[in-house]
Amino acid sequence: MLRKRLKWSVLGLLALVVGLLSATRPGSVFGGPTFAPAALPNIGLVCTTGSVSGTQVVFNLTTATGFYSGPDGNQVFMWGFGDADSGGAFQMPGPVLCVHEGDTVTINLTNTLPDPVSLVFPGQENVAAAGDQQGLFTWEAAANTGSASYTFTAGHPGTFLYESGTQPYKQIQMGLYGMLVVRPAMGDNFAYNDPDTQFRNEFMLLLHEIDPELHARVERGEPYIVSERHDRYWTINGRSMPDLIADNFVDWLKGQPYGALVRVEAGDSLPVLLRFANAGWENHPFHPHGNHMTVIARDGQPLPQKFQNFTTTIGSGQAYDLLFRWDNVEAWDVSANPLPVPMPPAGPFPDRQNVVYKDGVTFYSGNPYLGEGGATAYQDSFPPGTTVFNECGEFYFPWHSHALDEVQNFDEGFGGMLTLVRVDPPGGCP
Amino acid sequence: MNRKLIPRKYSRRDFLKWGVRGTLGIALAGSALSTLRPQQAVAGTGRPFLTPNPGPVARPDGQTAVRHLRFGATDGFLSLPGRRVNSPAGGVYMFGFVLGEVTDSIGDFIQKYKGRVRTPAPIVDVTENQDVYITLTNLGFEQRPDLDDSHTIHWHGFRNPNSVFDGVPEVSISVPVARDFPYFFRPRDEGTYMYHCHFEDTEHVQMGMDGIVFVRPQPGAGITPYHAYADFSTAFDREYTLLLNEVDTIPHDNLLAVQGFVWSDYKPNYWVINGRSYPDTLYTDLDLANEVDAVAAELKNRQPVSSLIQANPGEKILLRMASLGYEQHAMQMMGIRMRVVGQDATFLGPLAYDTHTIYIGPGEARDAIFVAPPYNPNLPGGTDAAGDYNVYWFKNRNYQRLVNDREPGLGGMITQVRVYAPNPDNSPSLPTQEWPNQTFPRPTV
Ligand SMILES: [Cu+2]
Ligand SMILES: [Cu+2]
Repeated sequence: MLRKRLKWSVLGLLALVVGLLSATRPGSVFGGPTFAPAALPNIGLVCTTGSVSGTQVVFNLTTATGFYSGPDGNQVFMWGFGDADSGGAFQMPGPVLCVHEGDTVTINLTNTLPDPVSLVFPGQENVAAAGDQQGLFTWEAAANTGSASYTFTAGHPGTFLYESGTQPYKQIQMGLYGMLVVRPAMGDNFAYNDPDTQFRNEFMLLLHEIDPELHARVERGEPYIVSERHDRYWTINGRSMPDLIADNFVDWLKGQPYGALVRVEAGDSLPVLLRFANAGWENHPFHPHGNHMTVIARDGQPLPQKFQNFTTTIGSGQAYDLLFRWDNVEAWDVSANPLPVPMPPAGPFPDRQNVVYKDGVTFYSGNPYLGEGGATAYQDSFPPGTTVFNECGEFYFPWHSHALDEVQNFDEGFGGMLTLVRVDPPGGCP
Repeated sequence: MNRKLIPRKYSRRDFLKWGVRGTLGIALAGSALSTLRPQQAVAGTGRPFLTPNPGPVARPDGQTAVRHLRFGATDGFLSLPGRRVNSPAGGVYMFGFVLGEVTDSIGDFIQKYKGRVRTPAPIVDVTENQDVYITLTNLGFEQRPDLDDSHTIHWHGFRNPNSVFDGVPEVSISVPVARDFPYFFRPRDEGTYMYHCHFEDTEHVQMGMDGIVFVRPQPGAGITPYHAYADFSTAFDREYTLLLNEVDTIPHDNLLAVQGFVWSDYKPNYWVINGRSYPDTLYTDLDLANEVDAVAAELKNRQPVSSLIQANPGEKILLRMASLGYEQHAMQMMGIRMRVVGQDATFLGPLAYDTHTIYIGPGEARDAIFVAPPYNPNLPGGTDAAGDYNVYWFKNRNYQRLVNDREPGLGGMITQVRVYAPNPDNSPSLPTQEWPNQTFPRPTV
């Protein structure tokens, strides 16, 4: 296995991309009320909208082979769905299919893989299917050159998976999965037909696991024995930490176009929507730092009673819609409302002798106050040689699987199924 | 913005890769077996390992009350069936937190507690709107003086924290060896939480740097410290924190032997409640204080938090459960119905439910209340120093987790609820609990 380490310096570049590009080109930051696909967002959910004619929506997907590129340098052979309308290149996960409640949705599938392939849509009803051959769950596209077609009415809004319905123990593991988003009649900035589900921005968090050894066997044409599965990589949107905090469509992750960095503004009047789905085989207990989440829906069904929690276990095949916000509750201010530290018997705060920045790299601004510190303050705030990824005193918090054996890239920590939320001061960075 | 990286200090992982493990490993393993110092006694009063909660104190400005705690991060050994400290197999190497004196100098704290870790980490008992300072001192590792690991405190589930106090080293700070750092929290929301070190979290949490913190509701308008939430439906008479963990002894043994571990190979072989595996879960505070047997003597200064649940008939018992293992658990109460009133430090209100089996995943918390049934001499039970009791079992439904590695017979994540016969004058036989997890009879000082 080829193993090389992604250096923090590379992470530095991507943090700059995340931090600065989005700040200097506010128009490109995802979040317009119309989610126009013309201006691709650099973070957040990226919709593929298909060809729309009235309430008829048509997507053309193709299968393709490619590689998962891990932060440790490992390359793992994958199967994936590509968008045939824009070249059909391999990507994982597959294109995010966005439709509206009531649309008649058709997905045409062209196969290029040595196995027959099909599509199933958990949560959709009355899916009409046609194809080269009848498989166990649905009609299939034959191996190598086959095709199949699926049509259903998107009956109700929500977050759903789509995935292979053929040999799922092999094909979903190999990467044949994606997310389907059905938008409500109430508007594209609502999760459901419920005014309390309005959101500022939306983010996809699509979970999966990878056993590189099983994938290598598929690549080499050797027997695929799923009972020997031993996961080594854990992914959100097809990427692992720290790759997943890079922007959408960075050119060094060609087959993994979707990032997973979440960004909110402190005290925003609207929350952000997190569309979670678990395409993997394990249940993942997902823990947000920074605040509780509000659980609004499960498996595309709005809950009669919303509730808050600090860990949501996303079961295999399940989808959860969660709302998140962050408020500067204590409103600490360096002059008007200072933190009640220093405290006895310790010295002044922060006493820089008493802290270290892990591996000489940090996302911390060097100042405990939101919106303080940042680029101009580094000189005084950090030991010489510290690399700092912080723009203007914004806060970062990790969000991760709390099955902590899953926040690894094989054996390197602070990896795997872990992303960051960036909390900007009110008004954003200047 | 991007500064040049200074040459990195050699991290442990580099150290391991350079293959120096051979000689040093032998030297350290040798010292581990031979140089255990006599253990410092836990407070002689029998008070288990937790922070006293004096309740809120009015501040002159009418704002908030203040708590100040001192935590030390260090290493030590855990006693498990099949892995007794004083046995050829030896105890299980652990990291963790100890509770020290706020007034101790760093040097004094190191002198008292380095190498004497307790498992689980101290139970932190605080009240809503009460300012909490925790000074974390990194005491260093007695068995691994070559390691310069930093540590942090992450209050898991704390709402809207400042990032500097959230304890994640990559996005804030961490505390190096022989240094202090003051963590500050102003809890606004009552309920059961947990906390843990977030430095190399996969390793440090599994190594034992985790505990339960809970927040009592602000008293007033009929709400007392005996309510789990600011709601009368959450009243209780007696409370127990139950921290669920697994132990995979291989990475623990490897750390002691100065060897690495591939964390995607994690596969536990012990399952514990408050750091104890059955039958150790049945020991009382009195058993430990009197060192009734060799096991009690080992648990006394290593795993002092009781996992045994005692009750008088008719009492409402609050179980504050949290899981910081990496597996999902289903905890089953046999013979008594539980009502889950809180989840993840959130009052469930209309979503509260009755059940006999509680699902709990990694990083999740549950508050469950049950009413102890009447004492019935015809039901299964026994007699201990507190009197005659009926026994009910509380256990992991996954029976693969009811073992101790390769030891024969029952083990793992299972304990008892003991409901005691009233005194002859019909008064309850158990006195009022003075702190969570306190068992009776109280050890004599
Ligand atoms: Cu630690
Ligand atoms: Cu945690």
